[in-house]
Amino acid sequence: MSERMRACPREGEVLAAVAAGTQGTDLGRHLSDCPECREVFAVSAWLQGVARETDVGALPRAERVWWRAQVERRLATRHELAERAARPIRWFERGAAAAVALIASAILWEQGVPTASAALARLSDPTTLGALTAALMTLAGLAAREAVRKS
Amino acid sequence: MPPLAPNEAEFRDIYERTAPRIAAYLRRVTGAADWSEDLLQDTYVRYLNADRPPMDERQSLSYLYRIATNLVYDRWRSMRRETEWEQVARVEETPPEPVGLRRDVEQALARLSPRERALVWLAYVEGYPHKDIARVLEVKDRSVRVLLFRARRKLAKILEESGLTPEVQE
Repeated sequence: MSERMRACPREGEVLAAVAAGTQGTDLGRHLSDCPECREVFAVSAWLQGVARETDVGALPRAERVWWRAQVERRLATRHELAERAARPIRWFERGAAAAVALIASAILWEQGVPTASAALARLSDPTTLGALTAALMTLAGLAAREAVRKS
Repeated sequence: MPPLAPNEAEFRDIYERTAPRIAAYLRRVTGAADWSEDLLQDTYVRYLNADRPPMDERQSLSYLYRIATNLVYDRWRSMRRETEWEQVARVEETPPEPVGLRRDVEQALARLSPRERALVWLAYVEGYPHKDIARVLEVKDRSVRVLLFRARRKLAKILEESGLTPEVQE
């Protein structure tokens, strides 16, 4: 916006006059000379008229809002307790997945895998294949569970 | 989670004194009667369940405006994602009001952004100082001056174009 920002020290006085619904001769004269205050007057007088005329309809009863707040609070507390109770199980599951991955790596290491083609050849070994499948399935299961929990 | 504060009777008292003002603010900032009712309830539910220090009525009102504004922004963002905000704000059903005023008000306010509506409302209806507006809208104190100036200028221009400028008595 290219317009220069200006402010008049009498803006507060203008707002007070609009709120009170009265405007002295002196302020009236100032309003006709000061474009900033005229703008403040126009906007605030219009908005206060809008506020007075705004029909908000029937408001919800305070008891109903209070009751809803209590229900939501109880639900949030219950959710938090369930989360806390499930935490050790989740840690155990993560530990188990790490152990499986470690064992699978150890088996591969122990059998010695010098190249990628040799690694593929080793997959035909039932022990290696079994360990890898178990590790992958455990990890996939945990990832799926975590995704469901988060959703 | 902290206990509900205040108690039910105190809440009823605060609610009855503040709800009409928060409702009018929501009504005009959202431009939609059906949303503003939902948002009003959500505002007070959040207020009751929030982890906050004890507050006097003025602080509570300012805090309620802040919650209400954040809820409006959240709703606005989700509507913007669906690119329906403008259409809904224009065509929604409104509760009965004087016909001339209703149309003018809706049209004039619809040309301001929700943040501009919130700014001018807090400054010129609630008479909030810049510091309080900054807290409610979560912007810097210094930014309020500039943002408010722009919003006011824009609204003044809209009022002038629509022939809605109030008379100045000399």
